[in-house]
Amino acid sequence: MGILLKASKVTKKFAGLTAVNSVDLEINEGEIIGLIGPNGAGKTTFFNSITGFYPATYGSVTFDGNDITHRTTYQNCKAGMARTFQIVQPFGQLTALENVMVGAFNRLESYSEAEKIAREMIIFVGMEDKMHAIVADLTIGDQRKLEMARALATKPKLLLLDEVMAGLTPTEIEETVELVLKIRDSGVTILMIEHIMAALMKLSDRVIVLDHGTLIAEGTPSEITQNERVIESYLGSAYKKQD
Amino acid sequence: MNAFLQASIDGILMGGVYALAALGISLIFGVMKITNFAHGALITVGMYVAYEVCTLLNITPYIALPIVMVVMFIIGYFIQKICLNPLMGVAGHNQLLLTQGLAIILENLILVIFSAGYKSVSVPGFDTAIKLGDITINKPKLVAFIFVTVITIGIYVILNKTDLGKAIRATSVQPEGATLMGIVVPRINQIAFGLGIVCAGVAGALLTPTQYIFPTSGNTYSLKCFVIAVFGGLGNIWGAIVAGLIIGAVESFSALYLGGSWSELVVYLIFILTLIIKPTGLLGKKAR
Amino acid sequence: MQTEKNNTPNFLGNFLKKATSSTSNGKLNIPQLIVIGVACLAVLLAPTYLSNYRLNLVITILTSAFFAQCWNLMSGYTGQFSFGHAAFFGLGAYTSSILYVDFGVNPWIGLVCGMAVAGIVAAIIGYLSFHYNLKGDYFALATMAFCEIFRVIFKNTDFLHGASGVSIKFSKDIGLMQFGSKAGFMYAAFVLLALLTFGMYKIRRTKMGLYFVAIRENEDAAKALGINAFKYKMIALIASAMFSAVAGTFYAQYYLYIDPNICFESAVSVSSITPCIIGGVGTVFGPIIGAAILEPISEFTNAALSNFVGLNMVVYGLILVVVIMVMPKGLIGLVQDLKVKFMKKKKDKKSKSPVEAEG
Repeated sequence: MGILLKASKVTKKFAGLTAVNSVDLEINEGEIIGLIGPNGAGKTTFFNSITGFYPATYGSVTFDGNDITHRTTYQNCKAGMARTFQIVQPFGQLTALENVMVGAFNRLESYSEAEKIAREMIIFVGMEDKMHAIVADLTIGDQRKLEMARALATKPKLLLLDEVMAGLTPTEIEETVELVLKIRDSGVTILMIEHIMAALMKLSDRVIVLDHGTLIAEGTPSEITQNERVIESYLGSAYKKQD
Repeated sequence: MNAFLQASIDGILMGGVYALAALGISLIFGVMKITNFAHGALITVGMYVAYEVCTLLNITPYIALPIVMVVMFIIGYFIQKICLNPLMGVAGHNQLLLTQGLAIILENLILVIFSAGYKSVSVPGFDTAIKLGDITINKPKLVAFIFVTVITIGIYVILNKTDLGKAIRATSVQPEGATLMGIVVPRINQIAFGLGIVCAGVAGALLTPTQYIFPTSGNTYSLKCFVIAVFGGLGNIWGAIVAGLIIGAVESFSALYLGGSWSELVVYLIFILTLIIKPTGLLGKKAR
Repeated sequence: MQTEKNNTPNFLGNFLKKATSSTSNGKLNIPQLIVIGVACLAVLLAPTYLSNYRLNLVITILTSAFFAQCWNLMSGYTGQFSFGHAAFFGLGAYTSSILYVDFGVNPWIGLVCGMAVAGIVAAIIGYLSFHYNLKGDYFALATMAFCEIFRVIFKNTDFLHGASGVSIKFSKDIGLMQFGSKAGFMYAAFVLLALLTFGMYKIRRTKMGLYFVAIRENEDAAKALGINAFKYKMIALIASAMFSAVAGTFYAQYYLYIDPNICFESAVSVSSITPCIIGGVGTVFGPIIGAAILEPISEFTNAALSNFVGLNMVVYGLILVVVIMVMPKGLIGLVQDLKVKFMKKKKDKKSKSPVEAEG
């Protein structure tokens, strides 16, 4: 298994504030990596730096053997990196099918081909009954699933999921866990930010922990749950929340 | 050298009036995030209100200012209440177009009511110029500048030293938060829009002694005010003042060295440069 | 359901239901095609039953719809709200007119040159705006400022005929892009509008068309899905500008006179927007429906209120304001919303008293 993504010393500063501080990370092909940390730890900013939304201030990112530090978002997507958003970003006035087709066009030119792929993806995430619904009318849960379908339709090598389980019911979370495993089995590597610890621990091969923009721990789920520093800065409160 | 000095003085005096009108745009944008395309037309309305009050009561525009302010405030208050409040929170281009529609209505209502003829206000005692050596200072412009200073300070005090000002500033930062704190946001919006329109109207009234009044006379200032408001940083009141003085001076210099008809071009070029280099404006926060 | 067959009122109801239905990608059904066919036929046969005076109104509707459709391509599809389309209109009008009047260049060639000039200027404006990420009101203000710049330049440059404008000699030669009669101009305007509208309809179901609307709906999401937003916004702006230039040349050839105010005034830019607002921004037929409503009203108020100069424009402004306040999605959006409401009511009624609803 080769290294798919390598981030070294990735740092992102906003007007004096260091949101992400010198984070190193290697992701192997076929892994599911969990990214956790308290609110404001810089998780989403780290996503944004990797995907090119806010290019990193320092450091470098290599993806699939190419330096992508200074690439823009759409170039990264073309290279095989797709993401979902913490706050869903649908094409509100388009149908579910059209939303996913936009993703499918990443690798295609033909309209009918894109439609075919989009249909497959919508069926894959289990939303075939909402194929022609206007997306603004869907529930948040459905919009999140749709966003995954849309990202998958771009045929990514690496999928970055930003809190796809936030605000879902326990059943929906269960479904999403299954879905994530299904995605990995289809050959897509996954990096996911998640606050739902039970789900994350079940899914992840490795977990990394950010706090105040700094990587404070990295290891298997069981290692992480026993890490003093992580319990102190994050897990303690997170577990309390779940009671 | 004298020509240069003369141009600076003319430019800065004129810039003061621009600054006041632009301050209105900036205030409205700062609080409601509305780009008010009707501002130019409302400057014209201010001119006509001043003209009417002056001819009816046989007074000077300076004495008429309080009446102009009240009338303009009411107009602004109700424009916001009737037309813009229902649109708060919908796509921005709708508000833009709505104010454009208002501009068309106002401009042509004036045309219907007052016809296209030129009108002017004469102010006895103010038609002479002050001479300082080779430099002449246009009296009405100087008086206008003084009024602008006073009114700007007044608006500053309202915004920074009163509870109303606190509510306006809170609304501008976070309307939802302001609502939670018990601030009636729609009413604050109406007041803020009213104040913004007072700026436009007073600027118009202060221009009456020095220029002809006709249904489109405010339009020349419309885009210029946007230039100043953006150059100073939309929503930034001091920015609008500084930018107003600068643009006034720039316009005056370019009129001197390039000819009057090209001075507009220079102003617009500055505008486009501002937009692409630093859209947050001269005194705005640094772009990310 | 079965009783609806061959039942005239129900057939009509069904026809209307289908004719007013819309999918998000605007695909047409048969009743809609019939309505469009009838409308086209009515226009094409207009010279046989309308006076020259009325034909003028038809030409105004068609050209106004065409110019609005140009704006719709850029601003309706990609959501980048231009407030300066007069710049492209004016450049088209001036390029062909000056080339013809001063240099004897055939207007047909002038038309192509005008498109090129507008395209190049659009590329510059687009590069500056999109590269520096101008959006929303800032983009609107920038386009407005560019337009004003052209007005100032054309007004103050003698070489460009200054404030006095350009007059074009009347001729009846189609080789000089004058179509002889009102009917001729009307057919020309019809062809222009039909082609552009067909293009708008077709492109919506291509990769590029879907990318345009994706950028409008959510630019960040679009970028994350591999869309080079800069490129697609540039394409839309340049294409839109080139067609606007055609509108400008057509105007000059029809009215035979242009000046800086006629071409570059902000009212011209507004005239490219208003029909779209009335009909429905970003819809294929919105600009046409809007123009077909707006222009006759303008014509009527202009004549009826001619004793009160300006009152017709007050009405114009009122229409704009009322439309934005009452039906911000335009007539097409309003009909959709009403239908959804109506269906819901019907459904509620059905579920409450199934027996009554059956009868």
